[in-house]
Amino acid sequence: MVEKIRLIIQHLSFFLLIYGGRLGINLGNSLPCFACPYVSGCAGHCYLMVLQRSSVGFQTTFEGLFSSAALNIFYPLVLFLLLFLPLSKLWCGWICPFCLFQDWITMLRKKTGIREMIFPRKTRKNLKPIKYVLLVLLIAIPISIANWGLHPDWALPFCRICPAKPILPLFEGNTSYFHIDGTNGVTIGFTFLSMILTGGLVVGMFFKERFFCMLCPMLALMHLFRKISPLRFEKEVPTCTACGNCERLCPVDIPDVYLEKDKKDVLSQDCMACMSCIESCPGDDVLAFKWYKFNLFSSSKRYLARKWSCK
Amino acid sequence: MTRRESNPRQMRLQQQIKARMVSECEGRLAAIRQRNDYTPDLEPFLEVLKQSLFPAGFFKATDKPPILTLCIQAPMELFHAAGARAYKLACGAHAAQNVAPPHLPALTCPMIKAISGMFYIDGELDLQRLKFVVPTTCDWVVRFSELIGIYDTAEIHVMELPHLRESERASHRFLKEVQQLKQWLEKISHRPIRPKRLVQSIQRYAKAWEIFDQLIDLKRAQRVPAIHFAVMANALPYQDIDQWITHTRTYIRGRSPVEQPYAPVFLAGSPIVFPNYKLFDLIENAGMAVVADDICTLERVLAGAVAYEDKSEYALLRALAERNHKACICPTFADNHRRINAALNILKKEKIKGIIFHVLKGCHPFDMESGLLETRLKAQGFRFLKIETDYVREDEQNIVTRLEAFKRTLI
Repeated sequence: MVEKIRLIIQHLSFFLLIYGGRLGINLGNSLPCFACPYVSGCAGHCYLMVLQRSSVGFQTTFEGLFSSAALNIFYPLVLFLLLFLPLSKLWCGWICPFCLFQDWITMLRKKTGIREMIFPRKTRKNLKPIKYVLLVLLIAIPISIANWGLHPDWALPFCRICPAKPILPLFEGNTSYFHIDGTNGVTIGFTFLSMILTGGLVVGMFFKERFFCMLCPMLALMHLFRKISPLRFEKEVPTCTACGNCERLCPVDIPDVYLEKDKKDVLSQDCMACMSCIESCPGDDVLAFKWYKFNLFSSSKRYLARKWSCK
Repeated sequence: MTRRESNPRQMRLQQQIKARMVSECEGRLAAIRQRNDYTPDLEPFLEVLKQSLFPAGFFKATDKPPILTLCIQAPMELFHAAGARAYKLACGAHAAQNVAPPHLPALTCPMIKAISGMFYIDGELDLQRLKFVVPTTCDWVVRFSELIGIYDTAEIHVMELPHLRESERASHRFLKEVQQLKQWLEKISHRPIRPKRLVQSIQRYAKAWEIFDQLIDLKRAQRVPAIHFAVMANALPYQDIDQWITHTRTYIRGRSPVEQPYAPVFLAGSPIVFPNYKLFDLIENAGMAVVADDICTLERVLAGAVAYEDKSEYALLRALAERNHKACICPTFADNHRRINAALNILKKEKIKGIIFHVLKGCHPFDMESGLLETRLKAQGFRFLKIETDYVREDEQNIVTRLEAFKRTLI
C-alpha cells in the first residue's frame, strides 16, 4: 500500500519536475532533490548547482563571503531549508526524479529475476564518507576558482560528473550530454569521468538498488540539517525482536536500525525515508515515521501479513 | 532398546505401551470434547493430532513423501514448495517415554525420550527408509539421530544452526544451510524448487500467519481458550497448510464472546505438545488463563511472514533463512537478550502481570533461560513462577497449589 502510494507520488513528481517548466511552473533553484537544471523545461533546479555557482554559491572571493554579498548565498540556503524542513528526507525517497530513475532500473532487474548485490556491512561503512567528500569538494573547488586561481573550467565540478546530467535530459530527447568535450585537458577529464561514472553507476544501479544514493552529496547535506526538521524516524528499542527484516528490505542495506539497541532516533545518514523497513517490520509500532508528534506511518504485524500473503 | 532387536517379549511390551498411548491420547481428546467451550470446529485438528502420534499411519494417509523434522528452523515453505509433507517430530505422550532406549540418561529431555519411544512403539514404521532434517539446536537434538540409533542408516540432513543471531557471519552461514536444504529437498522429492513455486508457498504460509495472528488476538481477549489454541498450533505442522487455513477460519467464525475472564498470564519456556496439556488444565484450575506465550510449539510455531526484496532464488532463500534464524526465539542462541523484548512488549501491551515459565526436566537451554528472564521481569515489576515438570501427572497437586498461590500475587 505505502509502496504503491510512494510510486504514484514519485511518478507525479517526476513529471512535474522534468516537464513542469513547460506548463509555466517554477519551483525555484533551491530544490532538495535532483531536479536537473540541464533538462530544459524543468520545473526547478537542484540546490547543489546553486552551491557551486558564482555570486549565489561558493564560487565567491573571501571578501565576498565575509561581506553583505554573502546574503546572495544565504537566500538560496534559506529557501532550501524552507523546502527541506517540512519533508526532510522524504524528498529523496518520494520526490527525487533521479531516485525514480534508479527505481525503474531496479524494477527491470526484478523482472529479469537477477539477484541484487548485497554489500557487507564493512563495505557499507566504507562507502559512507564518500558523499561527504563530494560535498566538501563541490564547495572547495568553487572557492579555489574564486580565490586561488583554479582554472574556470573546473566550475560546477559536481554537476559535470553527476550522472543525472546526461541521464535526465534523455527524457526530453536530449542526448547532447553524452559526449567528450575536447576544449582542453580539464573539460576532457571531466566529460570522460562523467561518461565513465554514468556508465558505471547505471550498471551499479542495476545490481544494487539505489546505488547512487549511497554516494549522493545531497543526502549528506540533508543529513546535516535533519535535526531541525520535524520529520522523525523512531524505533521503540525495547520492543524490537531483532528479526532483521529492516536491514534486509532496506534498498541501501542500512544496518543501523536493526543494530540500534539504545537510541530512539534511527534516521541514519543514508536513510531516504522510503519506509520499506516499516513495511517489513513485524512488530506493532516498533518503527514509525513521525512528523513532529503526528504518526505518518508505523509498523504493524497485520500490515506485514497482508502485504506478503496470497490474496 | 531399538526396534531391530524386537523379540516376542518386546513385541508384547510394544503392544501394551501402544495401548497405553492410545488411551492417553483418547483421554486427552475426550477431555477436550467434554469442555463447555468445545466446538466441533476443533475436530479436524484433533484428528490430525491423534494421527500424528502414530507416524506410520500418518504417512500412509498422506499422498506426499514425508520428511521428518525437529524444531522450527527448517523453513516449512521449502518443504511445501518441494511437494513434500513435513512431519514435525514432537511427542507429548507420557506412555511413549516408558520405552525409550535404556542408554538414555535419567534426566533426558522428555520430548526426545517420547519421540524415541514413539518410534519404538510404531511397529509398522521402517526407520531406515525415513528422511530427516535435523537443525542443530540443543544438545539433545544435535545427538538425536545417534541416541535413537538411526545415525548410520536413515537419510539425515543436518542443518548447522549458527548460535549467533545478530552477526553477519552467522546469517551467511545459515543462508548456506538453507540453500543446501533446498538442494537436498529437490533431490529427495525429485522436484525442482523454482522461485515462482517458492513464492506461492511463502504466500500460503504468510496467509496462515495472518489467520494465526487473528487467532492470537482472540486468545488475548480470552475468546479462544489456551487449550484450543494449543490444539490448532500443534496441528499446524502436520496439516496441509490450505486445510489448516480453512479449518482455522471456520473455527474463528464460530467464536463467541467470553463470559467470565480469568486472570491473564503469559506462558514461556519449554515446548508443550499434544497430548501433554496438563499445564493448561492446572493453570485453568487455578483460575488463570494463558492469553499469551512465546513457546515454539504454540504462538511461535510460525515465526512470521517472509518479506523478500525480489523474487530471485537468492532473495527468497535469504528471506527464509533470516526469518527462521534471526527471528527465531530458541534459547540456544548466544545473543538472545532481545528475544525477551517480545515477551516484555506483550506483557505491557496486554496488561499481564504474571509470567509462568515452563521447564521440562532435562531441557537445559530453557532452564538456563529461566533465571535470566526472571531477573529482568522481576526488575520491571512482573510476577514470575517457574514450573519444572515433565510428562508425569503425579506432581499435579503440587503444581496447582503453587499456581493458586501465584494467582493471589497477581491481584
